[in-house]
Amino acid sequence: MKNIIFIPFIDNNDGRAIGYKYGIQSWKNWAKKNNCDVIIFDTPIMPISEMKVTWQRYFLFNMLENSDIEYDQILMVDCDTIVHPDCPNFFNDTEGLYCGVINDGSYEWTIRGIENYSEYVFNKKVIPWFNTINGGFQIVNKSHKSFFKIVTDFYLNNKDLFLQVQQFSKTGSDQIPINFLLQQENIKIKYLSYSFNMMEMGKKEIINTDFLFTKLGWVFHFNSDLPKVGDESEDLFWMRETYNRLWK
Amino acid sequence: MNKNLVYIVSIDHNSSRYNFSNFSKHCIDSWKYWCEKNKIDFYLQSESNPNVGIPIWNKEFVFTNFKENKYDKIAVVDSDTMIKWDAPNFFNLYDDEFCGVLDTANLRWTYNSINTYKNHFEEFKQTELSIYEYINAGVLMFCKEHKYVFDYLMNFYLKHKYILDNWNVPGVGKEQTIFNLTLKKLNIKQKYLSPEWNLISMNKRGMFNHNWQLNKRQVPFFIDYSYIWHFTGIPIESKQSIIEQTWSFIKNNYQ
Repeated sequence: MKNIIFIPFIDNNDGRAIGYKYGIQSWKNWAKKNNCDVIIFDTPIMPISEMKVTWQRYFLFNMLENSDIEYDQILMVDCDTIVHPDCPNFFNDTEGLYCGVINDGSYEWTIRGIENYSEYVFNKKVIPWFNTINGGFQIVNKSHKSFFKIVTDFYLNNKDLFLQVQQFSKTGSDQIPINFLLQQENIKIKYLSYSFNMMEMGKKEIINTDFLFTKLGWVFHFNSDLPKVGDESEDLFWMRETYNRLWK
Repeated sequence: MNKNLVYIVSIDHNSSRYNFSNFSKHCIDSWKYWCEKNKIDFYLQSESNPNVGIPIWNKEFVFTNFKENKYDKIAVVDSDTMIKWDAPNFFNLYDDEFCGVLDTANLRWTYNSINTYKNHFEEFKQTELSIYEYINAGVLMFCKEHKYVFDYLMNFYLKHKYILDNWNVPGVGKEQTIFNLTLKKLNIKQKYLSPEWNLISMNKRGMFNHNWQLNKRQVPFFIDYSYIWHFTGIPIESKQSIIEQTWSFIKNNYQ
């Protein structure tokens, strides 16, 4: 049984997909090197106006099993990431646990999200703000199948509320709620180093045309605070240039 | 009964453009209150050790101020930190580890600083320190058994005193990186505390904001969500004003 790299990627024809293709190609290259399979989730199960793709990805186990795909561990990774060719095989380091990387960027965004979801969805329960994981890189295995069922059921049972809070809070979609649910369900998490999900690189002051970030870790997440270079979109520029430097 | 200590260095020195005492007063008041409440000794070093040039290096001489073994656990904190009035007793958070909070605010700075000091000092040429295991030296918590770490640092400073007192490489800091390199070189068991215990770069992290969407409570996040506030990453010209604003907002809790 192989490990799987599972990447949600819906082309909304808004031009952003061009950059993400570099991300996907990097994962395909890395998967080949590390004997993994890549599965692209490119056809939504239901309209994204009802359930964003970031939520639909938690149907992961249904999708794999409906397609008769055998699997061992699965990395769910965002398509705005590029993996370094020398990235160690993180599947060997999971200890069979749910793995993620702690959100390390704007604490304000995280705390505001927690307060808003606490107020409207989670009955005023609160969770610690300093160890929430980023949704863009999560490793799971079969033992997490029942948890994902809880996640998708919870969303569908509270769909209208989630849609309202998403719109109001503007703190992402699944990321804050998945952390509430992980804690609520006592899922044991192994926290991986920032080098496996290098988010908000602008805030860390490592993304610049010297490409310092490529020396500091393994998975580059082009999610916010990207410096503008030239006229093209930030994510396209940085993803293409990073891919070309590392993989061509 | 165990005896613990909080130690702060606040020394005005002609090498600084600003007098530390201008902004450290309220910070020190917060620590005095907290120490008294938690029955912890407090020591303020306001005069430099005669062997020390640049005041920041006084931290490394902490053990020279007391009889050996007088204190079981010690916290060395910067004079631009303030502790929340009801912060739990952090000395209960660790046993024999050396504790600090990871400093991930500016990884470029950290990367450059580690490489600069490693390349400059023979003692650290072979020390492999990752930017992801680098702690901020503004809040350090440790035990009496760690005296040898400070002995090493003191000797290092005295050996390289001229270079370190005249260090003018921009953007790599003063003693913090040497502190981290030493911890790594001596293979010290560390415990990383959550950012609540040394909240650095509050402005960059958005922690001066409150929840403007719910707007139920107009209290900046740093006050509600952390215990030790470290006023770093703010232009030195604004530091005093921000500390004073903070103090006037919360001082009634320290009575």
